[in-house]
Amino acid sequence: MSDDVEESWRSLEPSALLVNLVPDLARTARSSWPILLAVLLGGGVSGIADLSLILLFFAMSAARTLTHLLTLRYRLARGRLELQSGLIGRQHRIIDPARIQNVTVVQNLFHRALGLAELKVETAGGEFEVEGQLSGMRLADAEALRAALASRVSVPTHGEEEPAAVTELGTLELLGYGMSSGRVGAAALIVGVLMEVIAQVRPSEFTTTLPPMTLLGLSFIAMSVAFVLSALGAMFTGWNYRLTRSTVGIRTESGLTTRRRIEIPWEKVQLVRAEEPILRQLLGYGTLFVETAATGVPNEAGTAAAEASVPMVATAELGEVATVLLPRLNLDPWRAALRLPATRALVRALIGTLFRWSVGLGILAALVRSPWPLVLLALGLGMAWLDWRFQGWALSDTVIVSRMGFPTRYTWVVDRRKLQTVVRTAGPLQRLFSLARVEVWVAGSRVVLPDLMEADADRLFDQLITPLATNPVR
Amino acid sequence: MQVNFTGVDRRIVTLWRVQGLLRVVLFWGPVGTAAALALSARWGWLGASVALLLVALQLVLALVWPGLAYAALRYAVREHDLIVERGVLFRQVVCVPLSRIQHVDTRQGPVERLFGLSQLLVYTAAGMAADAAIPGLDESAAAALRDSLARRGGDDGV
Repeated sequence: MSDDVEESWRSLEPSALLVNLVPDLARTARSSWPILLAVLLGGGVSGIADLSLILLFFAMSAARTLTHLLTLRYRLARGRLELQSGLIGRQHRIIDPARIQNVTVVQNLFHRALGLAELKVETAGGEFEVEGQLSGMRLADAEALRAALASRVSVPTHGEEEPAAVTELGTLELLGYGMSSGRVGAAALIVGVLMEVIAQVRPSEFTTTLPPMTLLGLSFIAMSVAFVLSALGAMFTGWNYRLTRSTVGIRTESGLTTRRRIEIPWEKVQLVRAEEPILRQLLGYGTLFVETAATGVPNEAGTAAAEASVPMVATAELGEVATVLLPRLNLDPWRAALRLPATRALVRALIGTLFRWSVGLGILAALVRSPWPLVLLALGLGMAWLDWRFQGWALSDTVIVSRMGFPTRYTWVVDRRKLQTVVRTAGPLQRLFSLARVEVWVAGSRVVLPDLMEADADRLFDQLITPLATNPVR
Repeated sequence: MQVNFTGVDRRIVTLWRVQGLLRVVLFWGPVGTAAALALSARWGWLGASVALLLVALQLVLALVWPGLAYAALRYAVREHDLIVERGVLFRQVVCVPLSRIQHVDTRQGPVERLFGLSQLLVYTAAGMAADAAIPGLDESAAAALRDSLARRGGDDGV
């Protein structure tokens, strides 16, 4: 298609209303469940009034979606994707394919039943939004538009050649991923709900101080339910997971009910992040995330997330798979000996922990009059030591590596060509110990390196900015 | 340090002092007085003294801190990058390659306009907030620097 060609405006399929309305209402219900729960359980208001309020809530959400879908038009004009929508407030958006960070094709259950798909196009602009979102196109149209956009930039074009499979995940791996995701918050919520249920069903038996065994039992049930839910969630989102690579980038595909396919050109990858929760480390796995300059494709919960991920990678293969995601990676952070943070950084971390924990534990000690606060303090100091112990960093001519954290270990691998800003910071406690810290900012993310001695931090700062400038700073 | 840094306009010290004094008069003064009255009812002169001491501390900070912040603030525009150093307690050195600059703003509040000063804000693709900020520039110097930095092109790394 020539760049001069200007297509006529096109609308989404009429069945897009159904496809979008149901998930939209489900999202509304999910994001506003505390309000809905309060309205449903709150006393004093009549049932009809409660119901009206809820209906009004959903009607407003539905009206917004309907207006958007009915007024949404799109076309390819002079090689650019144009979108317009709105009834009262009109919006006209033009997206240059050269600015596209990633393209996602999504098919949820409704899409699949009706032969439709959703095309998502993300640029580096905006704040936590998908810049081009077309949900309810015919699958063939979505593929054609994706191919047309890809022909103008180096978005991976998998249509012409069979992409090479890099990783595929089985059921056991997905279960392991779900169960090692850690759901302490969810477990606490379930304990709360169970206690509320007991209080409602058997108020006479409910006292403010539950027997320890009951609490223990509730916690056990809650943890079990949280683990099962987490495992099921992983199965749904990661089902039939496949990572492939072409000559210009990577593609991930996964999902049981909602099938999601994400394509990212290598030239748009800003960094690769590895996340290794302690439980996943014990299973011998880690998770890799790819981040571009896009401000985040909203995940199932509607919050920003990394653009693509490889949920379960055997620890021994983390470096290898990371190289597929970021081909410029020329050292293996899981095999190479990383450089350590300064020894004095441990002293600083211990003092920081003492300072942070002492206030809370002091209050606790005054209240409970037992040695437990001291035990907790020792635990905090131990955690600080472990955190320091597992930190590290490395610098090659193409990437910067930073490792932090315990019990979850994080490793960042940043493409040096993508550096936007380099920052050297030193707080009062750091300066007391002649320490400093270097941060590297890329589009969409900021990566902090471990505390180093001032001279080392200065040297690293210079090494990072030298390819970008001509004279060293220090 | 092998960089030829430039300091900002000395008038920024007076401007920051005026802003600090306004904060003390309009916020800390009334809050401190109310707190002193409330605390004196319970702990007598000791309670009132603590509240008034905090207000006095704010006053001292408003007068002393600007001088320290001014001494710590400097910048350099080099061939390929902009370097800004700032921070009294938390020292920070920021290096922004000129090719990465997405846009440059100059900003003036009412008090800054009164002093003829302007703040320069440099944005890259790294985030929504400015990567580097240089307050206390003369209006014309800020405008010239803004125009000069905004003109630089190159690979933005995105």
